[in-house]
Amino acid sequence: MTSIETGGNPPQHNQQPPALSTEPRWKRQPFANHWRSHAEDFDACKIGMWLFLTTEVLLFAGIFVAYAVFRMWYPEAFANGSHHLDVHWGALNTVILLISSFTVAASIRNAQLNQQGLLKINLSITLVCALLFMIIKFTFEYAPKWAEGKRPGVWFSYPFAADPNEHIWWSLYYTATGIHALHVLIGAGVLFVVLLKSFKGWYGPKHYTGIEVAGLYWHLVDVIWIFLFPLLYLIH
Amino acid sequence: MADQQHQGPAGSPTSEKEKLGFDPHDPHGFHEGEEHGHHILSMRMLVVILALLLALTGLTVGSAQAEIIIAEELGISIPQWVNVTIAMTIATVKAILVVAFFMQLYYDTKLNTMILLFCLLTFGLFIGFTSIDMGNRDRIYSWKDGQHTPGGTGGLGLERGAFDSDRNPRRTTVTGPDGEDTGRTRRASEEVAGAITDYSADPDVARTRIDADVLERLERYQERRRAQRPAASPNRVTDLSSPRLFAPPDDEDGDGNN
Amino acid sequence: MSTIDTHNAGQHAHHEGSYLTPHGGALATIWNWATTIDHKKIGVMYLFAIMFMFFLGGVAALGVRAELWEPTRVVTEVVEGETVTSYTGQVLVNLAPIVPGVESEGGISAGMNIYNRAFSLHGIIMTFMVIVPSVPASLGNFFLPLMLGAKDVAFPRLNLMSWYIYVFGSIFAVAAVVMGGVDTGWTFYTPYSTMTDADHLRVVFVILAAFILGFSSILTGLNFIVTVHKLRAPGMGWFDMPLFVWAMYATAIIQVLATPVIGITLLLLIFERVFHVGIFDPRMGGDPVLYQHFFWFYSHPVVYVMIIPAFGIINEIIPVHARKKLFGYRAMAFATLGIAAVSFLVWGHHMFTASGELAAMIFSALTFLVAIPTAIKVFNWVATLYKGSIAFNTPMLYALSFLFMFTIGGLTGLPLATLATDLHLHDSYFVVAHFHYVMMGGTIIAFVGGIHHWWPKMFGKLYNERWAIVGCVLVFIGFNLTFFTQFILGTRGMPRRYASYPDEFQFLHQLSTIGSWILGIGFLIHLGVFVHSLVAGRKAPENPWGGLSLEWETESPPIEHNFHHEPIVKHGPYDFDTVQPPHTDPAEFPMPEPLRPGERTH
Ligand code: HEM
Ligand SMILES: [Cu+2]
Repeated sequence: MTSIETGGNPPQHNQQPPALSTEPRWKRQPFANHWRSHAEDFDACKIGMWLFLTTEVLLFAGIFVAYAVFRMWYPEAFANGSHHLDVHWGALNTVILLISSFTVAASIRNAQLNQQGLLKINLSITLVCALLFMIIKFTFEYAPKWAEGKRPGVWFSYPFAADPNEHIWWSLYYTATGIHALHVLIGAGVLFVVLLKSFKGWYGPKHYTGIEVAGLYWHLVDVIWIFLFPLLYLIH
Repeated sequence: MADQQHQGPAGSPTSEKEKLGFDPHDPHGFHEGEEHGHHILSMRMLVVILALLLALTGLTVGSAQAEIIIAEELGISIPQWVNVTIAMTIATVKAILVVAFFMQLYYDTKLNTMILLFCLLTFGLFIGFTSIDMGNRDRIYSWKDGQHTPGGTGGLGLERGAFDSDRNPRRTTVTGPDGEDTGRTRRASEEVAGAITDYSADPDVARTRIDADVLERLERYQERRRAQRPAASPNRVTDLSSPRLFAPPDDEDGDGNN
Repeated sequence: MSTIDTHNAGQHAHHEGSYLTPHGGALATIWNWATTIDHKKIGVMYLFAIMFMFFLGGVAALGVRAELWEPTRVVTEVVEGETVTSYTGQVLVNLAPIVPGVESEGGISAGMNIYNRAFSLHGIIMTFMVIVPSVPASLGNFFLPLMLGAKDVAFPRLNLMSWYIYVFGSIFAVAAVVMGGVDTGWTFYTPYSTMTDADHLRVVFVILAAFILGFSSILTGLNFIVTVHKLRAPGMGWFDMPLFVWAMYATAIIQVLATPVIGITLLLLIFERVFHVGIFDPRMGGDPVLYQHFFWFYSHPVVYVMIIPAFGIINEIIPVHARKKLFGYRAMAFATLGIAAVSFLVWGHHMFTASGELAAMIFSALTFLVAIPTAIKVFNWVATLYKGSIAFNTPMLYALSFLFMFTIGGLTGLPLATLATDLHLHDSYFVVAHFHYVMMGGTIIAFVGGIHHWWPKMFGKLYNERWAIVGCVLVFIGFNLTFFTQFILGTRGMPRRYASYPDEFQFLHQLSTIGSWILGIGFLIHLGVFVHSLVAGRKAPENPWGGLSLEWETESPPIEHNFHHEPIVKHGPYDFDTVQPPHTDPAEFPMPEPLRPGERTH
């Protein structure tokens, strides 16, 4: 008793854009054939990315919870530990990440407006920022602190610690910033791939899913740092 | 579906769309969403957001520095929660700016905002319930101390000894390495926790197979801890074999009774 | 239901082969499967991988039960003037020569060491590699897009990636087993997981395995959420979706929100174990109970990742095989979401004996909330069965076993959620029996029922009903014999995870062990039925049970792109009283007689 529906006139398969080889790469970009249109594909990718960002936030949630609990237990250790961090490097890194977030947002605008040259410049600036961030982190923060014995857990050997639980602070400091740094590296890797693709002309108006998604990830890395910075450097 | 009449192309398109739940002229939505979802931010907007973010960063660093300066120069120590509130509020505002404009959530579908809100709700549950437990360990120790009267107030804060006259968890002053007053305090539970730490460091009791290097480090750490420990306070329990661990703090002879 | 528009019929139809059609030679076919992004093939690959892991976990379980056949007794004899101590009643000790690193030490014999490893192995494999992915990754992958009328899941390549991550993670776990196994229990509690086997990498390997498997779970969940939002067939509103889809959706939400927390937990655990950072170590001011909070924040919600898909399967089996409209569709959908929501509020009930009493009271009160949506579901299933024309075939029998055993499992959760009784029952065999009644009696039973329900659709072959029923009955008997005895043992004080016990428990332990053999035989019969069906099964019709949801519209097995034409949905998935199912003969699947005035179906 299956009734017959003839109301519409749906095409059998989705309408892929014509693949003329003279057109720029982004115009020839097909979309997966279970989607009905490019817009749907784009929308879905964005929802998927937001869901992924959710998982990232909840990954960091664990560190924030540990931070909250131990801060509640050992406020003195945390106050002392925080004094050992150099606010200047932390603030500089914040500025660097904010600028890189800005350039990523700008690069999306470039893709939307088909400004291919600016697009590459903005993405490159972002990558430079990521590099700077990592350099500062390692050479001016990790290395000297490690050398002074401000290390996590049993490795802690700083002789002038004022509180018996200061190693917990350092454990959380290294865990939080370390996992964040890992995310910076991953984000930079993804953006690097995006940059390479942009040289091949993959992105253009309404066809910039890759940048959009990588950009969302990069902004998230920035947002996490926005919270880590005051928690680690500013609250004494 | 014998009982349902075939729907002809009659009727206005919108009402039909509502009735069917899909657009009969585009039932598979091939052209849906073509025009949405591509908001282009103006350059001015982007720059303004960046400027705001940088200014807020300056503000939060400044206020933290100000606290230190005020404390050092004027000798006024601002309560910690002020500092925490300022820093976290500024961070939240910054995060909202990034999320709403750089990540374009403000212009995006509601679904993505919902996803973010659910994420934050989950985060809230995680941190909230965990803190309820981890922040209330005093209650357990008051049970174990025997200060809690079974059938009494259920550990809700009226027990003798665990709480001071203002019904705050009792705190003892922490003295520095040379016995000087540091002006800091710690909770009763932290002292007991310290005692337990000693206990498990006894190699006979806590038999572990961590490699020698780590053990050595642990020992050094314990030593350091002992060295930094404040001079004996009457309530501090160091010898675990004594029944005093679970005795009320004002138990002089350590027999478990006052 | 979903009536298919025949607009371009004939132009495209019947050119496309089934998704199982081989592509060229054997090698080409293997390559085709290994690189496929077809959700059906990925579902099938998951299904077989999960079955294989289920077999491994099952062997470990049989080992555990075998060890418990007799209590361990220490025998001291004087042989030629020397005192020799030996043990009796340790079946597993015979494995000692082939298991590395289990020599006797510190009063623990090698046999007991192997026992510890066997139950840990069983728990780790069964939770992380079998039950968590079981229904969503196999049946869910296969049927979610079909039920939605879509061509594929939203992100097919991510789907394939999730399968490879699953395999990769499982390899880590298996590697740890080959290296000698771990004795941490599936919960990886500190300090077991940070201190034992310090000279081996295998604990790290297993933790890494669980960490990696988490990603596979996240990707599946993420994929399903987007698929449900974006790829419903035209005309399918939220409340026209089959409840299996609702179940997948709720499960996916939990997967996305809870799994990252186990990720960071296991990462911190590895840091703790490898770098001794001290956050879970009380000697350094850390706290093992913090680990438990982290762990259960994931692992309680994840028990609903295990059971909600099972609810979904039962929601499909019962109306189809009772030929009756599902009672209370909306209540079911909301109950599913409700359970998902409440699952995040109750994790503390695993730590009643370890956490502060204030938290324990709150968590206990919240735990009772779970019972409400669960009871709504059980009520609705029973109401659906009432006055239905029930076919007592294998899927239905499994659904009925599910109702029986899940109810027992759920109800025994309540004494565990009560603070006073849990003090006695915690970490006893009562808990073991409780979670086996919900996980095995619930999830696995529903899973096997679901496999039978959809087998003809998946492989286009019928299975041998008679032997399948024999298997089902054996599983039912074996399961209850194995685990009901454990309720009794638990209330009498038998603690879990012990290799030995007082002599007076021996009878019940032996009953339980015998039950495990019957259970094993039952599953082997099912295996035989499946193999027989694949090799020599009769060809299945499109719609052997008279189902109404979209997957029954297409061919058996489905064609590569699922449907010849994108379906348009015109009625709900359970309208058995008004719609003749597709591809069915009204003589075989008659519609119910019209109601006489004043008569009610419910
Ligand atoms: C009505 C619903 C349920 C309630 C009230 C409930 C309650 C509980 C409680 C209080 C415990 C802790 C017992 C203890 O360790 O002392 C527990 C353990 C457990 N439950 Fe449930 N439960 C319910 C349903 C489920 C379901 C549906 C599943 C899985 C599909 C499940 C799986 C488990 C597992 C695996 C454990 C033990 C974990 C371990 O310690 O290894 N429960 N349950
Ligand atoms: Cu639970």
